[in-house]
Amino acid sequence: MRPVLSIVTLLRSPIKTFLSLLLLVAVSFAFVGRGAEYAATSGEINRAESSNYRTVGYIRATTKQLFSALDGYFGDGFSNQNSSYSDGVPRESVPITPEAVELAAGSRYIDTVDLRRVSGGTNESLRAVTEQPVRHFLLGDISAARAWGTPGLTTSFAEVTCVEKDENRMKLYIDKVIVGDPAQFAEGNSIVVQNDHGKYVDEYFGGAEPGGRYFAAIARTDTGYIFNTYVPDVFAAISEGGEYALSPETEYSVRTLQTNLHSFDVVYTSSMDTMDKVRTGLMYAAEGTLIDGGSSGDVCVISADMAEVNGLAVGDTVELTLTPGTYESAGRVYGRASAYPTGTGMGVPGRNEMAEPDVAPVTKTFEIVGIWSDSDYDLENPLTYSLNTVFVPYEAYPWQDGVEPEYCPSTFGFSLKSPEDIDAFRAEVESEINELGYELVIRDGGYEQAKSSFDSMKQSALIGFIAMSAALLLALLLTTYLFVIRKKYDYAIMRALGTPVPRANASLLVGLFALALAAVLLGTALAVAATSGFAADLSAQIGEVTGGEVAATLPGWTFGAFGAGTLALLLAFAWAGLVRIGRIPPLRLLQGK
Amino acid sequence: MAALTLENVTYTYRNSPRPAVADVSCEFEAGTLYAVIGPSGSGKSTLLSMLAGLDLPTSGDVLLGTEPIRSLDLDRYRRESVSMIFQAFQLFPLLTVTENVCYPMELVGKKPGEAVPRAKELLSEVGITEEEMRRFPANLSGGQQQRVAIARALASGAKIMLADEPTGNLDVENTVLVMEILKRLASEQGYCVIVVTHDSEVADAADVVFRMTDGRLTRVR
Repeated sequence: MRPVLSIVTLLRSPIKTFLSLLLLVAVSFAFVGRGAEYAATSGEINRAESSNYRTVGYIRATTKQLFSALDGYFGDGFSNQNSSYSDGVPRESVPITPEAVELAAGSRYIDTVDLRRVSGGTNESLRAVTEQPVRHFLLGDISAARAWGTPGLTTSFAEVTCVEKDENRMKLYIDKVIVGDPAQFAEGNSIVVQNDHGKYVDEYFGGAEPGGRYFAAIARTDTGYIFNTYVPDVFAAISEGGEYALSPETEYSVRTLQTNLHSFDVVYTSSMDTMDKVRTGLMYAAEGTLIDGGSSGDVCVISADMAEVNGLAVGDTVELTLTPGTYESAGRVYGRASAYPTGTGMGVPGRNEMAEPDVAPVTKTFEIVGIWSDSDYDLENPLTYSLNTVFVPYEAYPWQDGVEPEYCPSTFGFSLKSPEDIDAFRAEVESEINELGYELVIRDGGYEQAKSSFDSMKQSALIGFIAMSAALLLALLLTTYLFVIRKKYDYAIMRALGTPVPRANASLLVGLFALALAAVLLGTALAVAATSGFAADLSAQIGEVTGGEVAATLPGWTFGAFGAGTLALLLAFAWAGLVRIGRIPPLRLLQGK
Repeated sequence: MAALTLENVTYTYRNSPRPAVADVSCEFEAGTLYAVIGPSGSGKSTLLSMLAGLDLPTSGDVLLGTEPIRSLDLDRYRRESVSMIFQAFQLFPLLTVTENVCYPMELVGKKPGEAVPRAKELLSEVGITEEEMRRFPANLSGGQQQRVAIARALASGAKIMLADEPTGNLDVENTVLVMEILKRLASEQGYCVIVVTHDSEVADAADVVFRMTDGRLTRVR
């Protein structure tokens, strides 16, 4: 049957039709516009939150550990003679149990987990970077009896010729550098050593003769060169035949430094994204990429300093002999360089004992895919990695079985799916982690401060949307009511003449649909035009909160969705109204009941 | 076999203390003009509504032939078996006269190309001019509207015609005209025509007359 009645009657009552159209256009415009704005606000804020406030965290000991607890790492004989270490080791370096790791990693709010492993890596052709202040023994001051020395003194061992001397200074010619920083001690150069230990004048200055050859342990300070008096054979004479004897302690020191010079910390990671400094952008890829979820194979990322010292670049390869053994390097988040395995000729007595002698070293060649840099490099910050750290993919760890992993904050990190999950995550795992003797450290990049601004923006948009939704609801109900009332007479006649209920309903709804469609299309078009500047305003607002540039958009589909929703709601109300009167017998309809 | 039969039909309006139609039984034959007379409020129109299937009796049955309409598709019954001329005409106000008469034909599936000529034919038969066919009902007199209503009732082709006060708004001339049409339908075309009226002169034209009093029907002639 032709839907003559509904369309025709709409057209033949233009004023009523126009007024209905006007009302519907107005509410469509308001609802669709506010709806799109709310959807955009909510969506863009969520996007800004997830991209600007990536939440990462780790677990650390709740109390500082006594330094002596780590004596076992260093073997017999090591003891701390330096007061600066007596206040204990930073909590970030204290190992944490697998139980605590699993507790955190098993949470449903976790996005990524990075269980990092560490090992040492050595290569006699590569040179490690000098780092100050030194706790990692690399050209550091080494005292007798293998005690910790004074940090900050870069020591080199060299065969020198005394050129001239007086009470306060001695000029030395560098014949041969045994182990040292070529930037500070170059063969063929002369240096002037100051006497800043007056009471030791006779000890080495007095014994030196111009023209004589000596083994010297020389330290570089900010003011110049001095003899490192912590080394027993700080200035040992070399015979005419080129022979000289060093005490065991000195020899140990030499070997240690030689080992340090070619030792690197290898950190095996599935993604560097969960590292705190990477999250904040302080640590970044100066060239190439960092290790992330897409990294695979034998690739590595080295520091910019290590690349410069060794003349390396992205695309080059480095060969490392990997050992799971570790030695002293407490106080840092980085991994620990290995001791050379016994039998390699470079073994350091005592230090080798700390390695795992039953585990065979593995030599691997890694391709450099990235150069990392730390703009906040500070070794006093326990979250800082040594410049001698080489990051490789987790799968590159050679001993997947049989070697018990040790976790510490430097080797375990996680990220949450959303900063909004922080409270829920804490509620889920924190009390149990505390009971294990650890605390949860979560960094949200300033989300807490931004959240209130974002919540305010969302709330404002929501209030506008709710208000318009309420207005729309009222308008639709009114329109539907008036429509049904107006059509009730026609409907009664149709039913009295034998028109089945579904056909009678459809006949009337066609007209309403046409009217509503026109209204929604027009209202939506007006809404699109009216919100043309909204995206820019939203970008500015969000950017003000995040401190960065934001490019917000109003997705076109939201207009369509809200417009379609308006149409559907109107038709649903009308249908419900018609169904209701469809149940009334035609007799009562004709009687106006 | 009677065209329509009422068996102990009773109808009580909601919230009404007494029935508008009380236990009415009678038969209506084809080819006969029936008149149901009675004062206002006696239940005449309600009785006609029962026959028209506009609602079902509270008790009792209306039979189409031998079939209770309660068991039929009432929409189809109203569409194909009976046609009704309403007291207040009940024309669609925003459809033209022609469109109003076409409506029941389109309801049974006739195409506009077939319905429109037939509508015009029926309208001509009841004395509506071509110009009047293009008007809206509000632009016609009461008598003209009543004749349009008759034409619409004829359009469905149903052989049972029910007329509720078909001459209530008409002058003498139109009253005679309408009654002639109805009488011809019954006598010449075999329609069963049932007219509800309070006009005794209209009843005089009928073959059978019933009187409705307080919901009860009695045959007068």
